[in-house]
Amino acid sequence: MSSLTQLQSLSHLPVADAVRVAEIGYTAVIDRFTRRLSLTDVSANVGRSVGNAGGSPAAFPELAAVGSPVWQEGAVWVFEERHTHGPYDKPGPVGFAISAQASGTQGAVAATVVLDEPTPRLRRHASGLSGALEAALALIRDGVEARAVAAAYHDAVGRADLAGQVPATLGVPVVAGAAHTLRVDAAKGAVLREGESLALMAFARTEDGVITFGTTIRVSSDGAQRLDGIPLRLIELR
Amino acid sequence: LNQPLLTAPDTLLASGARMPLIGFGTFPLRGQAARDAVSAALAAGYRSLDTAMRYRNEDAVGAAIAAGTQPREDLFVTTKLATDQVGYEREALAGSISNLGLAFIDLWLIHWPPGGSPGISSWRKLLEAREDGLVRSLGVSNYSIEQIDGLITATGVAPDVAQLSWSPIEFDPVYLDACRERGVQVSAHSPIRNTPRDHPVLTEIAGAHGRSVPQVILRWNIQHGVAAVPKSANPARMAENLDVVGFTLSADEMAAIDAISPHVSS
Repeated sequence: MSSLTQLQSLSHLPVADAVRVAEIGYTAVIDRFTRRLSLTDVSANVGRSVGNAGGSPAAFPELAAVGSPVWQEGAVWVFEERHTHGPYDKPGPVGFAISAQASGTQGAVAATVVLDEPTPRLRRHASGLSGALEAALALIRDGVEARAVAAAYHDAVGRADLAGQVPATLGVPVVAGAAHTLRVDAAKGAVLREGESLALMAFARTEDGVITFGTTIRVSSDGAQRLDGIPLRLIELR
Repeated sequence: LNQPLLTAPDTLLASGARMPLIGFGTFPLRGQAARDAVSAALAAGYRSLDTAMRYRNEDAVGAAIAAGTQPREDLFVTTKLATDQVGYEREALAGSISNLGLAFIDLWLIHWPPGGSPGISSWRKLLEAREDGLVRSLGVSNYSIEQIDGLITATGVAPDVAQLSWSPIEFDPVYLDACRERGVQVSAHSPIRNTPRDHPVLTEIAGAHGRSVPQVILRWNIQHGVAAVPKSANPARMAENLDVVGFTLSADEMAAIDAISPHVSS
């Protein structure tokens, strides 16, 4: 099943609506991001887009545990103080997350953009973190212990020359339930069950800056079904 | 629809392709709603369809095309490269072609200037795709003249089409003239949405011609030589938006509509 077909086959789920809104917020960042913008500008764009799509910003306190410290403005979260104000005229990555709610559920995505050609080191680290998230995604399915997912993630981080850049963390909040949250690292023995929706946020603080990738998935017997379609790689806007 | 088919006038692009001046915009339709709307648009007489990788409806547009009876050579299909695909242009194009179920794309646009830059590396990839026969015409969306000039300076090749949000309230004669000087066809997305339909200038002209305000706006675009891709999921409005060849706006009426824009000094 193609990723697009998979997305559409899940579009009836309430959480898919929240993820759709979060992804629209992501698009509002990516399409209009320039060196001249500030976080306030970016957040205003995202707020309009999220609102027009029928959603609203969502609280996402788990992000503080994943990528502490964080700064939030509306639906947009950033992880470095230098990204709280423009212009984005400094080299290096800009990692951000979008959290939105709609249809009584919550969805989140995260991405990292660069405005200049990335250095080989940054490419390597981004590729390593992306690979670690993919490793976690590959393991998720109904009946798998959450700590096994975290172990797969951290094993991949270790193999990817990211160990020295930690904390590279993986947060997995359960967003299908209104208040129930889970962090894989802390959830000893928790078992993932079909129908649960999880926001996976991979995060690494590197010499070049924070890199983050994030997606919201639904657990099924066949594996992790991604509810968004954003690339889990460095986004080069140049 | 049992009405006679309507046909939009077309324009000759610098690439040598002919593009209908009225197309069917598909954002934000998705899934079955998108498929049904495109099928209805084809039945109404639309031959130009505007989609984008970002819209997540290329497969629905493709399904409607496949279910239709229109010969491929009669269709003009536009799609757009998402901004986050810099460095992955060819893979993105392959995905669009596959989703649409077509052998080639008539018009491929860079959807937004990446990071506010001209996106020269992506533009080179678009040019390669045209050389390889995967795309007939190329263009940009939401670009300034400075960004278009950046592409021309770097590659010597101007976009065939520049699409942007364009309606009477956004009319910019400087942009239009600059595009003409460079051989770039301007195309309006959201041509009806951003101007108040109760604007007195528009309602008066519409009343004088016995037409609707959207028809007047689309006619105004055609007489400026600007293409437009209005969206409607309502078959009656689809047909109405295509039925804009049976009347002509006078020079005074064109000037009055132009003057709605703050870019036009009175």
